[in-house]
Parts: sequence; structure tokens; C-alpha cells
Amino acid sequence: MTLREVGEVEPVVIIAIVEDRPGVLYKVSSIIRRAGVNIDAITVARTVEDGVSRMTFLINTTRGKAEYLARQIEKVPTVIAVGWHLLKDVHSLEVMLARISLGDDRHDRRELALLAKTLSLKILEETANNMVVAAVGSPEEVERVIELLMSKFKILDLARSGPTALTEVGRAWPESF
Amino acid sequence: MSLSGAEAIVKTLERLGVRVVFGIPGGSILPLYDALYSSDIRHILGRHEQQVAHMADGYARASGKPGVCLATSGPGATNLVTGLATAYMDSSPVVAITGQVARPLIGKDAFQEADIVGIVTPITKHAIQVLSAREVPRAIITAFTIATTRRPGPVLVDVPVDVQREVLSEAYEGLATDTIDVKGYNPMPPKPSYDSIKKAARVLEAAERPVILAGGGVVWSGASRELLDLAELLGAPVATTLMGKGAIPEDHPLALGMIGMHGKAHANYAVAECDVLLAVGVRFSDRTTGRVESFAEQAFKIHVDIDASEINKNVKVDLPIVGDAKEVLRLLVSELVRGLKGGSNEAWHRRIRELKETYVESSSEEPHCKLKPSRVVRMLNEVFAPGSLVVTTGVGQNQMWAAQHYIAHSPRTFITSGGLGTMGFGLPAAIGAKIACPNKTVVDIDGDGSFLMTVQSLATSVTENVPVIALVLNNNALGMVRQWQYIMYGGRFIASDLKGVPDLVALTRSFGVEGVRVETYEELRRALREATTSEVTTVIDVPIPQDEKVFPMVLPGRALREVLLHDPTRGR
Repeated sequence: MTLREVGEVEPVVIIAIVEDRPGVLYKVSSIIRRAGVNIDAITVARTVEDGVSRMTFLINTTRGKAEYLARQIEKVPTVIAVGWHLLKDVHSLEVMLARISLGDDRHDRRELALLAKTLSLKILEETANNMVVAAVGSPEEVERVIELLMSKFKILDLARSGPTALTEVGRAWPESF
Repeated sequence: MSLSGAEAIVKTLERLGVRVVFGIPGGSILPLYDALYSSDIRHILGRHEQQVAHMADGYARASGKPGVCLATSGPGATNLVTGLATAYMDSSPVVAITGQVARPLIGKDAFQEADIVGIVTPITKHAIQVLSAREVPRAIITAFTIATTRRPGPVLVDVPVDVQREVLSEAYEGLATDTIDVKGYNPMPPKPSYDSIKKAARVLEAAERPVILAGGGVVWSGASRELLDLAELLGAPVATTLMGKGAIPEDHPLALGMIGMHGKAHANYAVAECDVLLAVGVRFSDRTTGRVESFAEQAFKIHVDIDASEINKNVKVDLPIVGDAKEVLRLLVSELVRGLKGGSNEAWHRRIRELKETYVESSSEEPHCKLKPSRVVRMLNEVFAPGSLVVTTGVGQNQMWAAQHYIAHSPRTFITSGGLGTMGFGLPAAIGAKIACPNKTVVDIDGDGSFLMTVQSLATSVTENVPVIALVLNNNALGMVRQWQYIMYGGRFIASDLKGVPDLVALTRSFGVEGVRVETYEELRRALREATTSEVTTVIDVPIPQDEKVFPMVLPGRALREVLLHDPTRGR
């Protein structure tokens, strides 16, 4: 099988250590676009090294295509290192913020406070009509929190960061040669 | 002391040893042109930026040195796009320097503003915008380093006009640098794994039917000597891709010629039948492999490439070696010399001879055909001494006839747009090649369709005194389109007849070049001889029949061994 052939589509994380300068995200994401792969989530932030950022892409694709994409990204001059992993194989966390409508119901407020305690949600803001809560967890955990919140309350606004993962990157390709 | 951004560009180009640049000025690049006024760098004025990029590309391919092109902002820059994409597909080190609107105007849809860095990002190895004069020397050094090292490729440097004008109160020497500012880029080629080299050597010496496939990477790496050493040591026949043409002298007994869609039939069969394929500096393009699942299906495949992303991209290989072709081939030779048992592969050579004899191209002249394109191209082999010629091509039938019938003796002497297939490449590339190799005769083998796409390059050849020969195989048609319409679309010809307009001789004479139409081989021979000594460019219009086709041919989606030797519909 060459790198682009069909296989099972799975959630994959591509991590790129890149130079922190304009145009790098454009070039890297353009490689993913050219392959016809949709990006489910991206996180980008600085690393401990000056001028170096870490990009984490969550995509749904085959292992062959993930390998193809990683190698294409690796050859971009402003990319320092690349790695890819199945989402299920890495420790990944994401942040979720939700504004929940409470209306006049005191029962609601109590229930949400209780739920926040059980689920370790952080309460960021409380007003007369709504409450902003934050959760940190694996993408599945965040998914479950959202489902639970939706089943009991009205979510006015929701923001998810997409996962970021701390894993080894470099030339250690899963399918090495 | 004072130094402008534009002067810093020119001084850095001089420091890099740049002798010639190709370009067209415009508002946003005038400070750079003004700085060139007092430089010894030769400027070649183009007539359209596409051919400016092709000229720089032709210069790079013929010389192995980076080709530099200049264009203004907006349309000047966007006109470069086809030329840069052409260079990218064939891994050619072209450095483009574009003017940009002044920094405060960027993003405001200013006059002649285009986001050229955004536009060329997917078709260049690297693209940068320089935002202060102080950054200029490092940006130019970075561009040249990235363009010329590892797998070469085009790089664009976009310089806003106010950065070119910005004056620094220091001397150039204080700013000069040799280091690039891209952390992720290592200019040194990857070190090949010694274990892989050893393993490859063992596989190759045990091979009974080895074939070496040489691609453009052998040419860029300058590895022809090492390729020949290895081939002779192993007694392995050498096929090439289109881009690898000239990597081995094509009259060498071990040379098979080109494989692929219009490759030599015997070469395609040899690859289909080999038991070990050593592919060096190739990317297994669809035009080379035919149906990829059937490509060399019996063979243990060893793939040598400097670009790790090529491994298993198109063809699944058994043993990859990531490294520079020259180094890997040298290591293979020394590894083999140490352990070679001396297999002679006599049966395989008999088989190759048999294939060559079976599929010899017929040179029979059809009565209706006064000038046959294959023989027209072969006349170059007769008229010119081996090694005296650089050939460039258009794209289409003319290109394939050139690839099939011109015998290339050395690398960098057959220059063609292989990957992108850019019609109009031949004439400007010939001008660039002639500037790189002034002592060689440069012949653009072209078609009338291709030729007309960049015919204005003739003006450059006249005003800049760069005489080349354009041999235009004129079938009054987009011949390859017509061939596909004939074979695959049931002869429903649409939009492929150019109806003989314009009269090429009259047109080209209006540029002040020699224009001549030939009707016989004798006239052609005479025209070529006269053109060689002419001080101006000569355009030789060679009328050929419109229904002449390129064979052998492997139809799209078919395996190499399904090569058609003749028109499948003939005699229907």
C-alpha cells in the first residue's frame, strides 16, 4: 500500500513543531487542504523555546494518509519536527467553556452548582440569568460533559479549544523505514 | 555610510556570484532596478513574466546554478506563477524577487497589489516577505540556500517598495551574513543509512535481471559518473524517466532509453520483467509508471531519494534509501567492489537484446509524409557533434518526439517541462540555457501550439543578443490533444485545429530573427547548419502532417507492458 490508499478512517493527531512566524500555519494547513482532509480542530501555542510554536491538528483520516501528510509537512523549511498519532494513543486534553442559561429557576442554579462540583467544572462567572463554566478533559470527557449539560440546561454559547497533546515528535514514524 | 534595501539586494546577489538576472521592471521594483544600474550583473529584459521565470529556469537547468528572476508587484508577480510551478514540479532552483506595494498599503487593495506570498506558497519550496531593509541580506541568503540545497526548488522573496527604498546608516559589510534564518531547515543532505546501503548491495549483486531507473535527481545531484560506474559494475541496464534523460549517455550499450507513457517499448518491457529495480532520484510520476499497481510488479524495489516524503508516496518500495544520489551511488559502488561475486547476467542481456531487436522503431517513410517528425528530430543527431547541443522542448507531441529520438549524451543537455507540462516553456528556456552555455548550440524543439504561447521571447533573443534555434514541428494543431481525441474520444475533434494561423515565417521575421520554412530533409539540414553560425535566432518552420501520432504509447491507466506500438485504430 502506498501512503494515500484507502483504509479505515480514524481520529488522528498531527503535531508539528514550527517556527513562530507568519505564513507557517497557512503552509501546513494548505498541505492538509490539498489532500482533501477536513481539519476538526487546531491548537497553536508557543513552546519553551523562543520563536518556536507547537501545532496540534485533529483530523479524521487513514493511517496511510496521516503518514503521507506528516512527511509532506516535515519537508516544509519552517517546520522543525512532525509526528502523528492515533488520538486514542495519546494523552490529549481540551478546554471547554459554556455559558448556561438559568432563567429564574433557583433549582437550576443549585443543580448546576452541584453538577459543577461533581464534574470538577470551574465556575468562571455567575450572573442573575446565566453561569459560565469551564471543563478540562480528554475530548471524550468534554463530549460527555457537554451532553450532560445539554440534557439538563440550555447552553447559550459554547467554545471548545480542540485537543492538544504532549507526545514525542520527530522522525520516529510509526511506519519507519 | 548609507545603504538602501535595494542596494542590499544587489550586493547580496553579487556576493552570491549571480552574473545574470531575468526580469521586467515595474513601479514596485524600480528601486531594485535603480540599484542594478550601477552593478555588473547582466539584466535580460523579458516581454512577459512567465517567460522570464522560464528563462531563469532554463538557465538553472543548463548550468546547475540558481536562476534569478525579477518582477514587479501585482500582475508582474502573478504572471510568474506558471513559471514557478513549472520549476517546482521539476525541482529547479529558481529564485524570484518580486516588488510589493509599500508596507502601509499592504492589505488595502492598493494599485498592483497581489498577495503573492499567499498565491505561490503551495508551488514554491519557500516564500518570504521581507519587512525591513536590515533583514534583506539574510532573506536573500536564505532564499538561495533553500533553493539550491537538498531537493532544489523555487523560492520567492517579496520586497515591499518602501523596504527597497529604506536607507540604513551602515555599510553592507556590517549586515552581510552566511547563515539562514530558518531553524527547521538543514541544508546538508540526509545521511544514507549504511545498513540500507549494505542490504541494497547484497540484493543488487544477487539480482538476475536488474534494471536501474535514473531520474531528475541523478541530474541535479551530478551523479552521472557514479551511475555509470554502478551500471557497468553490475552490468545493469539503465532506463531513465523524462527528467533523467541524459543522466547516462543514450548511446551507451547499457542505456535503455526513457520509460513511461511514450517511452521505448523495450525499456518498458525491461522494467516490467526485471527482478530488482534500483530507482534513483525519481518520484514515480504517473506518466512514468503507467498503472501503478502493475509497475515492475516482479521486482524488489530499491528507492534512492533525497526527499523522504517521496518514499512510498506513489509506489510501495521494498528498500528505501534516503540520501543524495551521488553519495548513495558512490557508497553502493564501494560496497559492491568489496563483495562482488561477479554475476554476468548473460541471460538477461540476451533478453534485453531480443527486446531491443523486437521493438526496433521502424524508419519506413510513409509516402504521404514529406517530413516525418521522428526523422526531423533524428537529424539533430546527424548534424551536430555529440555534446555540442542543448535541447529544450515545448510540451505535447513535439516534446515526446524529442524525448524519443534525440540522443542526449550528457546531463543538463535535455531541458523539458516534465512535471507541470507547461506549453510555452521551450523558447524562453532555450534563451536561459544559451546564456548559461554560450558556447553550445541551443535548439528548442517545439510545436506550433507551444511555440506561439511564448513567441514574444524572440524579442528578448534579438535585443539581448542570445541566438538560439527554434525547430517548430508545425502540424497546425494542438497535436497531443488531437491524438487523444482520435484515440480516446472517437475522433471527435474539437478546439484542436489551429488552422495554420499565423504564418510563422512572416511572424518571426517581424521580430528581426531568421525565419525559414523547409520542405525536404536536405533543406532542413542546410537550415540547421546555417542557423548554427547565424548571429541571430533562427526559427525553422517544419510542416508535418496533422495526423502524425506519437507511438509507442501506454494508454492512461494501463500497465507499461500494455504498450501500443502503433495506432490501434489503423486498418480498422
